[in-house]
Amino acid sequence: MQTVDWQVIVKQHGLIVWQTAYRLLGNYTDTADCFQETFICALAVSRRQQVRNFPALLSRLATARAIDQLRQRTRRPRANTEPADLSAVPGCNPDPPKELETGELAAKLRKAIAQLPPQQAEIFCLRYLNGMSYRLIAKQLGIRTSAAGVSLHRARAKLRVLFAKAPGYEESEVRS
Amino acid sequence: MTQEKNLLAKATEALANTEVPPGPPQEVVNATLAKLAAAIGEPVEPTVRSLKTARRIRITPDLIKFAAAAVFLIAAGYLVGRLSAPKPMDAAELYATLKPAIQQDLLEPMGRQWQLILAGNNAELKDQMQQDFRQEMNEFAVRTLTASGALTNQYLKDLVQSINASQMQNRRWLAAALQQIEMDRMRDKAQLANGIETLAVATGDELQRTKNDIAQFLVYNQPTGLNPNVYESPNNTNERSRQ
Repeated sequence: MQTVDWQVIVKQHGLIVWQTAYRLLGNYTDTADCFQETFICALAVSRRQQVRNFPALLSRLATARAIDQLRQRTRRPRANTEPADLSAVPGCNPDPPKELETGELAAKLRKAIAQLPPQQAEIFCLRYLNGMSYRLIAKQLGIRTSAAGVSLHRARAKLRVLFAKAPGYEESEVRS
Repeated sequence: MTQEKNLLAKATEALANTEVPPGPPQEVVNATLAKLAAAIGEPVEPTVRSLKTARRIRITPDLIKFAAAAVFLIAAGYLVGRLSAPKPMDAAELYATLKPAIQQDLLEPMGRQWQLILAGNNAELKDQMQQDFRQEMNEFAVRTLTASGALTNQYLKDLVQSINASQMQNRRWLAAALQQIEMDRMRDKAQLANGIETLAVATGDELQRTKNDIAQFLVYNQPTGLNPNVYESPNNTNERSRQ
């Protein structure tokens, strides 16, 4: 079993986990839950195998947990009774319409990611949100690099279809 | 440039550049560390399933190699056996081999028999052939007559059946025609009776109207001083003349 100083790990890589989870979930409460679950999962993984790349592992675990929560949220839509997350409100907003459009696009993408198969969603997020290379993604997921590329391609194709089906956006706009 | 990007790229960019509040907050970090400490304190008890899975993962490459070697050996053995096995004898070749010998074996006794027959008495052979010919002719005649008789009977039977069928059809047509005629007659009779009745009623009404008109005419032309009841019969039931 690997001996890990978890205080150091949380201090060093907590920011990556927090950012990864918050990007996908978009609220404080879910992100905090996801943060804790990620490190508990990382502990379980470190008991089973030697961990050489903690940032990549934590990014993958955070992404997977966040996607799970997104899928649960999609399956059971709940009333939004949480207090507003005022920390996410930008202080100085130069372009409110653009900010609104960006927020809507991000919300639509979150919803679409929740409808993807789990592995495709994970690969898409790790590639485009965390900026991980194909090789690193494949190594983390235990698949071949080519398989990661194929899954990413399929994920993008499905996302295009889901965006085209989303109300308010025409397919021509998606393909343009 | 931004407008030229597709919607998915824009959405991905928007999600990647989402404003993330500074964090993680200290209370979340503390809670996480507390949970980790609690989890580290728990004894690690690997389940049977995880052990099996780990062992399976460890032995999988060796197992794959063994399986590939076994498949290769089996395939090689099969190929060697298939190539070294004696070929099954071809039927055409066997036929070609046996045909001359069988022909030879059959032709020799038949030739000898024919030679013996031809060497016999020609008259006896002629009588025998005549008798055989007559017998065959008689049999042929009997067969032909029997067959023609059966065929004739069959034709006659068919003819009788067709005649019966046509007669039956004619009877049906005749019965249908008679029924139709009877129905027409009944309908004409009913129509005639109605017409006559209507005519009688109309004639009665017209006659009555004519009577009334005549009576009224006479009443109008009666000279004063005459008894008006002369023309009025007490038995007249005409309501107008009463009035």
